[in-house]
Amino acid sequence: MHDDRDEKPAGAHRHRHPHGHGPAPLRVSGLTVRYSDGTAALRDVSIDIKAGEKVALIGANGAGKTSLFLSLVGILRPDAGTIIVGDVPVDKDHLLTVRRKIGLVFQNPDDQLFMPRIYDDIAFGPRNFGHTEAEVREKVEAVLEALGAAHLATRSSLKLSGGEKRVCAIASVLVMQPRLLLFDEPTAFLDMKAKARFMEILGGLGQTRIIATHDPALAAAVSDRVIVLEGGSVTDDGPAAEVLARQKFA
Amino acid sequence: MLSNRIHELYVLEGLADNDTAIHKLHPRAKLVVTFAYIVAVVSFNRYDVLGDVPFFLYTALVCGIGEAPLRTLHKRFLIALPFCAFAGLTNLLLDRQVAFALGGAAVTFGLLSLLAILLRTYLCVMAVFALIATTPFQGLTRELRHLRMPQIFITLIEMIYRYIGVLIDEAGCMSTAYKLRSVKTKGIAMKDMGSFVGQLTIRSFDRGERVYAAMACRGYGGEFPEMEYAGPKPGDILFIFLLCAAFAALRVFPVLDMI
Repeated sequence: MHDDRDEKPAGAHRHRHPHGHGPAPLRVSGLTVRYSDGTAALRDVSIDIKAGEKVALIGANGAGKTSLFLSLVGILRPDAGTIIVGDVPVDKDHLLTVRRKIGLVFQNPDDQLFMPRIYDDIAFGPRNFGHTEAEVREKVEAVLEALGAAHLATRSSLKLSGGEKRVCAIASVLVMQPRLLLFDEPTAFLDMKAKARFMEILGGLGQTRIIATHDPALAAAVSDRVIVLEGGSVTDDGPAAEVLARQKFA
Repeated sequence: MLSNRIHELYVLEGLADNDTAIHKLHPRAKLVVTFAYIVAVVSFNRYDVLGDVPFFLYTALVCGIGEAPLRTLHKRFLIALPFCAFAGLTNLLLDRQVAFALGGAAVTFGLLSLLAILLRTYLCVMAVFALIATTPFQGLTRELRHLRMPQIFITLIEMIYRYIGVLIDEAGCMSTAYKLRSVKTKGIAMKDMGSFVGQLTIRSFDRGERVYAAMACRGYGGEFPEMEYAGPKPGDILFIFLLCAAFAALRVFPVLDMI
């Protein structure tokens, strides 16, 4: 079962995490999430994703894609249903463990980059999880090097292009070595060159992956499976080519 | 451009990454010395202008050795200037008793008080700027934590510092959108100011929530992460001792008065 030792508050000394970094499976059962005004964001959503699977989540604006992602990382609390990442349930007792396993790349990279320097933005997660400064430096430098963004370390996010911001936002998530990656509209705001760079980065990632997108071409290019959300419910689920053909995207 | 303003906001923090002798001092040493400096500066008699003058030396030395450009710091001081000038002007108008005559012109106690307020504000604000420009923000808040400042105040300081950029960013976007559709008015018309500020508050709140969610996803639990902590070294203690002794000496033996 999971290890609870890293549920200590930020700032306290924490033990090193014993988890490996292999891809994690995800099981969502009967998930229902309502906003405070009673509107249902998600209705009885059930999804089973195997370790290492590459999934695209497609749906119109307001279909519930972002709400599902926020539920998976425990930001939105479910009114009903369960979520299990690897072998860890997503509940208030396991938030830190869950957030260590799942990396969420937000739609707008500006939401994710809030420190004065890119280095500090990327170091934010490892520092929160109690790594020493030497370890943090090693991890940050390694991830920036791997993404070809070492030259951005000392820059301010305010001075970066959309594509550079996106790469840094991905770096800030990858540095924590998550086992499940969630991308919310990752190609929004990107030009063709930046989009190609993103696809290249994506190709090198081995984690279980869910990409929320409006873009059927992106879904077809980077996913084995497509799940369709409409009005907060799953309306289609299957191999990418079949689902996209059924949805008349292909 | 407001985005440039945001960048300027964090320029001081950028200076804190330099690697000078002042930067190498422990944050606690600089914090204690800055506090002692401010206490010494404000402790003079309200009409005593000359007593404070030698204290210029400290900020000049720290900025010089710490490679903090005085021009940048002075630009930021201008923001504080109207507030202290306004407070001092009240004294100038109310306290008209003549203190002495200088070249035939009467110098009132009110004028002395105004000069003292301006000088002390300048010295104190510059000392704080010098501290910020030579010490990483996280080092300062960590030291406040170690000095037992209540956590709620530290979190407030950290959040205000981080979210002020979010607020300015949102204001910038809204202001641009407004100006593009109101070519006849300069800035934002008073009649629209209410809804502008209301919208700005709501948008900033939404944006703040998203930033918070991004922080929470990376393990943030109410405190900025604590980096490895090493206490002050003997050299830092010596720095505190020497500087505090110098401030005490300047306070007890006002050099310019004696000359």
